[in-house]
Amino acid sequence: MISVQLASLLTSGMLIIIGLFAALFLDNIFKKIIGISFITEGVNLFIVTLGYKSDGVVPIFLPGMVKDVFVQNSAYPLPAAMVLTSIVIGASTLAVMLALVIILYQKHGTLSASKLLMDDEEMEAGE
Amino acid sequence: MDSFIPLLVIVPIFCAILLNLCHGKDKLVKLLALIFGITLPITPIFVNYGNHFFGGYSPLFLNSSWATNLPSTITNSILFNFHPAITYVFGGMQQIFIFILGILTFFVIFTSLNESKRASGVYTFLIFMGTAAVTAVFLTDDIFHLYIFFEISVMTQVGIILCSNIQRKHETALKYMFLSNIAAPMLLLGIGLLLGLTGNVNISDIIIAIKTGVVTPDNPVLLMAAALILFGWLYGSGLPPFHSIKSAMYSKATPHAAAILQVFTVFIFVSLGIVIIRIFAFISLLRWIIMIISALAMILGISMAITQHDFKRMIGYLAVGELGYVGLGLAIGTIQSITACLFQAVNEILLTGLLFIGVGTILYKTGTTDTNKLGGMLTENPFVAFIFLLTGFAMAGVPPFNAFQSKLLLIQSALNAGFPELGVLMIILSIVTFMTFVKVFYTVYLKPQPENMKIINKKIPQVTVISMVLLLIVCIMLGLFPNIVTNAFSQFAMGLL
Amino acid sequence: MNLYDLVNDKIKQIQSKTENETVSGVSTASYLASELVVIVSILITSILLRKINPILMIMGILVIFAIILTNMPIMPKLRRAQNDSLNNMMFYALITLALLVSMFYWGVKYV
Repeated sequence: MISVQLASLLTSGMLIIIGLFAALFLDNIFKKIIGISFITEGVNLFIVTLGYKSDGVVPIFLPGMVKDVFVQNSAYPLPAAMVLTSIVIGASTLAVMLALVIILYQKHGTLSASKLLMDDEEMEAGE
Repeated sequence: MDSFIPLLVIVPIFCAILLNLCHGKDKLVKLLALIFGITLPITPIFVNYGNHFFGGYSPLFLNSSWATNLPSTITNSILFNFHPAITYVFGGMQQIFIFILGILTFFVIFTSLNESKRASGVYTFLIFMGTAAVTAVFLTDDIFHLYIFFEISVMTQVGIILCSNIQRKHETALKYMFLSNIAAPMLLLGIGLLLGLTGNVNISDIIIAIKTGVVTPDNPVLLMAAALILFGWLYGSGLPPFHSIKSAMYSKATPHAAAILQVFTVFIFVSLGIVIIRIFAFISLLRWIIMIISALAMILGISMAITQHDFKRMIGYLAVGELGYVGLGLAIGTIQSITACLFQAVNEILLTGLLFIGVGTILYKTGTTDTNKLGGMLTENPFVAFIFLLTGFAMAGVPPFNAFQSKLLLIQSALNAGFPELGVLMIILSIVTFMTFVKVFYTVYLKPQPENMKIINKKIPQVTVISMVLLLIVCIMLGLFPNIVTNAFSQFAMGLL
Repeated sequence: MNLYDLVNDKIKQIQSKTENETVSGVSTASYLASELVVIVSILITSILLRKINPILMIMGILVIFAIILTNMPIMPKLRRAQNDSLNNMMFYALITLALLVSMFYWGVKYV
């Protein structure tokens, strides 16, 4: 029986590998961007999983809780705080990449990464 | 605890936001940018050395009155030494680097505002934001905080590229973002692994955890973290295999933007490099890997530079090659070599910035940086040509300039540490750097002017020439009196080792 | 045909120039210089192998020298490999990541 934490870690590993495959091998720019998104979210899932505690409680000290019991059983709050910031950064880089893709599509009329993002000298020679 | 240390980051962020809000009002943007630009080198002079603990949460060992009611499981364990808050560390080394960053940012803003007809609030926003980001990367003792500002600096670099009007800037920006979004998550994954092992993201606490045996040094997860963080560092610094995208970025930016982009790169190189050495110094393989990669950067950078036709690309590759010198100093790992590497980093910031501003004068006058289409510029501006020649000499390591002192120190440290082949390599590549400059100087200034070369602007702004002269004076001062900076750097290196 | 003309023709091929266009003497000198720099620098850097084993160093230098001689000129190949197309750069980036992870994971106990 796989524990929740191990399943989560395996999922994050799979996401990262699928993302790397998509970013490297797929030609469509949108698919590459989705792959990159997978990598970022896989890493975020990995970090969140680090804070997991089996039979743990949410790390918010509410009135009526016993301090020692809370300290023993609360999950680690730092990874969740880190991931919040990381998600925001992922969203902003995604927004910038998508904006650039829109501009490039308007300029070249294709979404093929090998045509859009080739070497400068090859592009000049083609023009 | 010093309360003014965060001002080094807050002031540029505040300036950036205000300039962005004023976008469209040219005169206001110019005035504010100049005033704010002056504050950048002045602020580090007035901030005292020390540590700043955000929220006032200093470690228990510094505030033992807080520890009086705590159980012995905390006060008698390493938790007593842990840092509960984000920490900024400001010492002599940081002061010198941030001062140089401030000077160069000021000159870049000064010259770009004078050379362009309209002032862009967005462009100055990006420059100030990038300055704030790399300052934070340099000051912080928290590895996740470093990652956040590292990502912000990447975004500002992309934005700076997009502000130029050079062809194929969007393609280069998108390529840079793709590579960033592969390397940066790997860096974050490495940070996550360190968090999982030590329960901490504060660098000093991670080191304490490793030294006191909380984490065994041969732990495979720790080694994986080292590999991933090193990979992120290679991307941020523009070392191989990311040297081609870095030089492409420099070639697609306006020369002033390229001058500031290379400063950001050097800052990330030095700060993340020092973090890696601090945490993973016990891995001797690390030193060898950094040595090989730095040597490769030097060889590839300098040999590619000499074959380029685009002036900006040439200097971009040279900048990558010069970073290899800094990496070698870091890899050799003695007090003398780390002092030399920090000194070389400062010199590289100044000289590469000066070179890019020099390229800017050519672009301003002729509208091109293709050396095949240039020639005879000596008759147009003999004084600027003379400054450019001196800069070339400086970068190649000719006395009495600053790079001579830092390269000599690097070579001496390589010999003293038992790596004479690295010393020989550095000398050979310095000679080739000099050869590159002779080629550039000939093709741009001495070769007969081609018939189809047009002069767009007759006169180079005085401000640009003044900036170049002042930067050259700083280079000569550091060449004649290297102790101004090497004393602080050697103290830092002693503390590091 | 002397050596200079041979080098000149090779550079024409790299720069894809036609028969009527000339390659400048500066270009030729630059390519020759960069070729020599790469060869010399790689050989000098490979002397570092002496820190592992002196015999490994001798073997390594001979092998590297043989590879260089059989693959000359190196600069055209290096220039082609250093292009900034995304696929090329991503490929090298991922190879580097794989090498780094393997070296740290398995190489630490040997150094």
